[in-house]
Formats: sequence, C-alpha cells, structure tokens
Amino acid sequence: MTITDGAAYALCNSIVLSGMESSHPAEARGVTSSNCYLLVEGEHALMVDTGFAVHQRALVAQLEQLLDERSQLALLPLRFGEFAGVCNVRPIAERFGATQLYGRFFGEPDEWLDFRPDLDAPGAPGGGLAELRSVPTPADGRIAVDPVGRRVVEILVAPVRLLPEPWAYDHRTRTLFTGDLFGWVDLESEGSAAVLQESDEDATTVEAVGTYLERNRFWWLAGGDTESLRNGMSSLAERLEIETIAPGNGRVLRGRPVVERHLTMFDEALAQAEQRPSVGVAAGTWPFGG
Amino acid sequence: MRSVSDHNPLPRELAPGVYWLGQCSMLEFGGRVLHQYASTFLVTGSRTSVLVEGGLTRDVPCILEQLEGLFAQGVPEPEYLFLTHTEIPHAGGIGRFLQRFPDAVACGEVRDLHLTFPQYAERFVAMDPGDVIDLGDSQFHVVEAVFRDLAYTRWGFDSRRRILFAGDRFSYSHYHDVGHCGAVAEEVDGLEVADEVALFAMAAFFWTKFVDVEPYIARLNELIVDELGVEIIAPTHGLPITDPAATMPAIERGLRAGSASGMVANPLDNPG
Repeated sequence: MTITDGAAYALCNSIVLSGMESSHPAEARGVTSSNCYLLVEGEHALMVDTGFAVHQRALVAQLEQLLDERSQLALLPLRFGEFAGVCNVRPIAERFGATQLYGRFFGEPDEWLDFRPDLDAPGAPGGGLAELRSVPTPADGRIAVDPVGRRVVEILVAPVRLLPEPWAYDHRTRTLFTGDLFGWVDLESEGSAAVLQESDEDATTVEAVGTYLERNRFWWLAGGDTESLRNGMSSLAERLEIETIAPGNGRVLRGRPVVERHLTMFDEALAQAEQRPSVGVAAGTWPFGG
Repeated sequence: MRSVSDHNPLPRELAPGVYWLGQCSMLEFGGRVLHQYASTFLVTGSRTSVLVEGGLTRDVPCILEQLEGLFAQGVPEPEYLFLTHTEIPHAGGIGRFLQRFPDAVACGEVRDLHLTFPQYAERFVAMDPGDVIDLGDSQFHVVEAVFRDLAYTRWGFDSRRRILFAGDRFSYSHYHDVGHCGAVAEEVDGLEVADEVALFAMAAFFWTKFVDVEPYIARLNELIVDELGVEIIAPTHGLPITDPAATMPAIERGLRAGSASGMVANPLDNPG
C-alpha cells in the first residue's frame, strides 16, 4: 500500500484476533493488520520492522514488487524486543542481501535473531544473518536512508510507551512510526483496506481507544498521572508535521484530518484514564479468556 | 560490544532438583563492563520437569549442553516450557527448545507464538494464575505477576522448594560485575540495590513513574510472605535471592526510588 509514491509503503497483512495477540486486549475479536514499512530513496531502502513468520511469504512478495536487484536494503526493527519486529530479519536479509541492521540490542544479529527452526538449512546455521551487521544508531538519532543523507529518518523516544522501544519519523513523507501505539483501528474484514483516510467512515470512539489501551499494554494508565504523558505527546505533535501515523498494527492513519482526530482521541483517552481507579494490581490476575 | 563471558559457573543447583542454567552476557554501559543473564531454570519433579523461560537464542546451545548433562544424571526431560512473557530476552530460544523437546508444550504467557512459530501452533498453552502443573512430588503454580511490562505476564512458583520465578521483577541485580557470575545475591558484597533498581525502572518499567507503587509493593509482600511463603526468588535477569526477608526491604527502597526518579531512559541505549 502506497503512503507516498516512490518513497514510502506500508506492508500490511491481516491477523484474525483470537485473544492470543499481544497487540490487543485478550477479549478483543475481529481483524487487525500487522504492519511493516518500506522507505525508498533511489536505490536505497529502509525497512521498518519485519513482521511475523506467518507473513513471511506475503512480505517477501510485497518487497519483490518494490525492490529490484540494484536495491540496497537496510533494516530498522523498532520493535526489536518482540517477535512482531524481527521474525523475518533472516529471510529478508537472505533474499534481498541486506547487510545493515540499525540498533545494537542483544548482540550481533546472528546471536539473537536465529530463533526460527523452520529456516534451518543443513550446514548453514544462521544463514544470511552472518552477513548482517548491527549498526549503532547515530548519537543524534538521525538515520540516513541514502548515503548522502538526502532522506533522514529521526529516531524518537516514544513519549508514551510500555517497552523501551523507540518511534521514528520520516521527514520526507511526514510519517510517524509508532510501534505498539495507535493500533486501535481494526480492519473491516480479512484483507480489507488497512489504511484509514478522511473519506472513510471511522467509528472509533475515545472509549474504544481507552479500552484498547487500558485492557492491554497500558493498563497502568488508569488512575495514573497522565499529564506529563499528554504533554510529551502534544510537544511531539507540535514539533513534527505529521501527515501519516504508521502503527505496528491496525489501520494506517492517513491525512491531517485523520491524524488530528486520533491524536485528539488519544489525548482525551489519557485524560479520562487519569480519572479512573487504578487496575494495576488486579491486572496481574486477568485471565486469557478475558 | 556485547559478548558472552568466558567464565561460566552454571548450571547451579539452587535447591534440590532446581537448576539455574544459561550464561552471562557482557555489555558496556555507563563506561563499565557489566554482566547480565537471560536465565532459564529447570524445575524437576519425580514425574516430569518444567523449563522456565526461553533464553536468548545465542544461549540455547549452552543451555542444551547443560541440560544434557543433567539428563545423563537421570533428571527427567521437560514436558513443559514455561514462559513468563514473550519478549525476546525471555522467549528467544523457545522455538529451539520446542524443536529439541518434541513432546513438550510451551505454556504460560504465550501470546504471538502462533504467529511466530506456526508449525508449533498446537503446542502453545495459555495459562492463568491458579493453573497448576503436576511434577509428581511437587507442583508448579502459575501466579500473578505483580510487576510486569507486557500485560498477561505470568510468574511461576514451585511448591516443594518454595521458589518464585519472577521474570523481569527483582531486577536490582540485573547487572553485576565480573566475579559475580553464578553467585546468588547474598553472596555478593556491595550490590548497589537502589541504583540498579532505578536503572531497570528507566529501561523496562517506564510506567512506574506515573503510578503510585505502594499498592504494588503491598501486594508483592502479601504474595511472597503471606500467600506463598517464598524462600528463593529466581529472576530472569538478576542474581537469585536466597534470603527474601533480608533483601526485600532494600528492593522496596529501590522500587520507590526508581518510581520517584525523574530519569527517563533513551530506548536507543537499551541495556537489555
């Protein structure tokens, strides 16, 4: 799916929610999207996250449509601590010859990313991971998609987060990559549109955003001090001109009106969460059955 | 820089039939070389065993070698591979363990594993607090994770040896210096408890800065002392705690200090 023609693409693949997806509350049902992204600048490309193993074939096919034999691909797993971000590092590196992975997390790639037994090849443990090198994120947090730095992706400290995973902002396409936040808009059905635009009907409510947050990763918001979180998000939104919010799952939020609406709903959900009683201790006993 | 320590005193038997497995990783942080575990534990019973946590992928060959040594001594192979949660440092090796132990199931907090290892989709068992695994002469209880990052994180408790497997919690010894490898917390002099807790809060428990931590601390004490009678705490990243009564006050001070701290970690400096 095109975000900006020739420059940014969303690689979206459906997931039918069963209660066993960490992106959603255990009681959630419906269809979401697992999202990776490809930023292209000339012959250079940067892939944000690599998705789940179950989507390997689809992702490789999507990449084959966007890259050619001259393409030089680097990988940026924002969700480095979760399988959603890194399952396909090895097959993508092998298929497209990627040699750089941004961020030093748990060692060199072949030390921590060779976790899929289904990829084993006799006599070739680790496969293409051996050719892949970790590249430290520059101290200024600015990653150049192309060698001369015409295209810069800024790595950001997420103002609201559960895990220590960063966000990123592509200055050229004004796209904000938000990992496990802003994933609350589900797909209408399997394979249906994974982008939400101004012309689309959007039934999302502040209450739905609150449920998405507080019944899963952000259980701690209820009864918490959310003012500084709201301020942090507001400052970020003021500094960056955001035209697309690109979450790790759920529909991609496209266009200023849609972005503004969801930023506002997020802010209101944070404000409302503060007024509710904490569920933090009780959340430890929540069953998978919901 | 990040690599594996040459000196590995593991496996270590923490209590009769409960083994601490894995190896230390080294990393530079704050100008110091620090050591860190992504531990796994084998909890054995007369009928079967539970392997607790999945380790990092690079640790799998070492852990399997340690396990083979134990199996050669008559320890039963695990039928259960228990995960506190499915972050990479806790579950990175689970696919390899499922491959090695074809009759075992992965259990506990197993979300996303069906999307990661679809070939093993029938071998994932979500477990809730209150669920029990019968080991024969002991029981492995699934208990609530009082402190957690991912929702639905689970802790485990072995009833006979009274050991709590607490995942990311009790991380005051998340880092330790050279020479501390394979030691329990009470064997190491001069651990900087408050500093270590604050460091981990910055990295892994960002949320503690925005909540009142007192109810969590109260529930933690209630669970450990009143309900379970925990005698050993086995965290995934830190050194095991063999005298909870003596160590808990320092942990509580650290939790409060970490929560009150204005420090916010840069995720790009991820220390683990």
